[in-house]
Amino acid sequence: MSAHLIFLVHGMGIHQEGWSKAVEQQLADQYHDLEWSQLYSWGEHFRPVEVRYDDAFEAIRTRWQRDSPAVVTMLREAGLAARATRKLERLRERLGTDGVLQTHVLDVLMYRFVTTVREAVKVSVARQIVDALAAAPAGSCWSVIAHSLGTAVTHDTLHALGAGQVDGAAAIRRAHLVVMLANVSRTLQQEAVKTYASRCCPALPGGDGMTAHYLNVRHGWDPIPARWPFSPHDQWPDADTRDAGRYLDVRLTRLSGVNPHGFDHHLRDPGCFVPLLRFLGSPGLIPEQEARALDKAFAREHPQGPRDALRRRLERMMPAPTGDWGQYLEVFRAYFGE
Amino acid sequence: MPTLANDCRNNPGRAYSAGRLLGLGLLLALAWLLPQPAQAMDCDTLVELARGTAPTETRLTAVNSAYRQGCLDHRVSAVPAADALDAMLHRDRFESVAGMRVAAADLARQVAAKAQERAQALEPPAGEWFAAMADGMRAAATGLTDAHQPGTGATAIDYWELHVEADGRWRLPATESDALPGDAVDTACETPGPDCDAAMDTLLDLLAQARAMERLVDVAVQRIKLAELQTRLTRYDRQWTAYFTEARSQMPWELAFNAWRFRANREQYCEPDGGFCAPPAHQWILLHPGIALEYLEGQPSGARVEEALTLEIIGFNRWSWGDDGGTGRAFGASIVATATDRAGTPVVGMGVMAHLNHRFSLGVTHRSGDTGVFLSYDFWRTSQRRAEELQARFAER
Repeated sequence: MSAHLIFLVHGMGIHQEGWSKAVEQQLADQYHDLEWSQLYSWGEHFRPVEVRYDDAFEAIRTRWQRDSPAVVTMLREAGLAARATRKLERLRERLGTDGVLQTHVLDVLMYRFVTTVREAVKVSVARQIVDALAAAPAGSCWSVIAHSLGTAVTHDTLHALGAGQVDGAAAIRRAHLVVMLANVSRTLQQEAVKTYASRCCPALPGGDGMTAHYLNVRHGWDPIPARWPFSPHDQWPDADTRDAGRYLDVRLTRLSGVNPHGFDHHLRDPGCFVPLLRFLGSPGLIPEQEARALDKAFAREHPQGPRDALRRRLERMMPAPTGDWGQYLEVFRAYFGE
Repeated sequence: MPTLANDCRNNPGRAYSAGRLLGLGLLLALAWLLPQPAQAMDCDTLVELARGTAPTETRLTAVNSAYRQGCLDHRVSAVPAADALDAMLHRDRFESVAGMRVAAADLARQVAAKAQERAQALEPPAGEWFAAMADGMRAAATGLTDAHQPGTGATAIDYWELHVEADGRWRLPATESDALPGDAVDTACETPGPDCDAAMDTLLDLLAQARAMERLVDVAVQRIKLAELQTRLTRYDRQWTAYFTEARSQMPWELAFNAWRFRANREQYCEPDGGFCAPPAHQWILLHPGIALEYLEGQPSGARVEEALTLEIIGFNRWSWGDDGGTGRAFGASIVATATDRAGTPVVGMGVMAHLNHRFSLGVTHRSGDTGVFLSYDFWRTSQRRAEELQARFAER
């Protein structure tokens, strides 16, 4: 029986093996609550596959933690000013701890600015996708659900997977669906690969693009993807692909927790998981009436009035859409509480 | 008096049974209380639903589900389902990929013959869909045996793949129609009955043949390309892992510098058209710290060998890649400063050092007429504590 592999790609921070279990369970629970969940077998046909790439960042960070005491000492002995060595010492201490700035911001900075790290991550993620697909039965297809930094990783990896694509044919069959939650592919855009000109775009058969469908989901109160937000022009994707409904942009506004950037926070909202599951299965999988009922239930469960204070705090953190990197890093500090 | 603990130790069988019963009981209660996910329909049920009396939209959703999950594979006898097709066209059974593709082309022609029969037996539009598919299958058969790398046109997977668009339209390029399933189903299924059942059966046959071709093209073309990609990625992944974990560690500034050099010479390491990259087989060394055992000739006996901090001011390390993707033999050299806390000699000395296989380094330093030799092993891999102790000694001065 052919399978539909769903690759789950995490965002910034430490993600040990098994990190995706909570996400898989969330998706499985939402799927099994559907009236027509019997149409597909979750687990047999839809097969979530965990992708990890943070080991590259972790290996580098661990080495810095080990190696840095000696350099500070050496530079001081060599005559470096006391003030400078104090700054270096503070830097060393910060690199070595496990605070959010070290595990989150450093990942983002390393991925964006250190080409060798980025290429290693792309290869690792691509290999995990290709290995899983090669092991799946013939006729199997695949999709990706990516979150935060994982959206930039997915974007870059799909672009590379499509190298040499001719009339839509590449070394790997195109994805059925790419889901980008808290999409920072534009925020972390490279000079060499512009987001709206890359192959990470939906396409009709025979067209150049590494996915058949693209679902972009952004939470209106999430400051992380708000700098240089993913907001394509009207010709992305091309008119025929748009007319076919292959690209959907969803803006969530309801708060159901304190972390609107979270993977689970995005997936929890029917505004996200209804189109996601419809794209995975078919439009008929969730009839309109059921979709409206799910939406109403969610609204009842998460009244927005009591969340006003949280909303105001998030509003103050919002970066300017075209702000510089210094301002953007301040957003991380404010959001993650450092 | 026997306690439960004692009892467990002395009578493990009895305690196990009691515990086991309790555990089973709890599980049963939990299973009864918790809502269970609805059992997924098996293929027979899906096809029955498609051919039954449910609303048309539901039946079409069932058809799509049956199609996606491979429930229709058995309807095309010429092309075996799933693993059987893999086995039939396995690379090991043929002298070459070209030989395998000849066999695949033969299967495609068999399916084309069936499609042609259906085309002749059915009224438009269904007859036209099957006719277009038959043409596509024959084109695929030709394309599979083409000397040029197939994978486009009728030998492309997405040519045979069905997508249900957001507005409910079905798109199956091989039928050369954008009217699926509407024209065939709308009229026939205005009222339930034999006409509607026949329309659904026709759809099922159409999709079964498309699916058969999709799997054929997947095995004969796409998976060959995928395997080649997998080989390259496995090698690159191994090399990148070795670059960051086997080669000499890089401080942030070294990482930045070496990344800048990589970017400047990208075309040497990367596949064309924005493809994947392999790492360089070298690295620059800049202000890199370490520990060494230094022997200073001019020191009193018993104090000639001491630990010293090293700082490689600038250097270069290069290696060859092993067949397994790991780093092979590596050689490097650096200009180095060493710092050591000894009486009667300057703290800092300058010299050169040579590196072997990323781990071992041998160097010579000079400080005020005193020549030293030092040996460095990548102690950082084993002891961060030792480094901090050394640092503390300097801080006390």
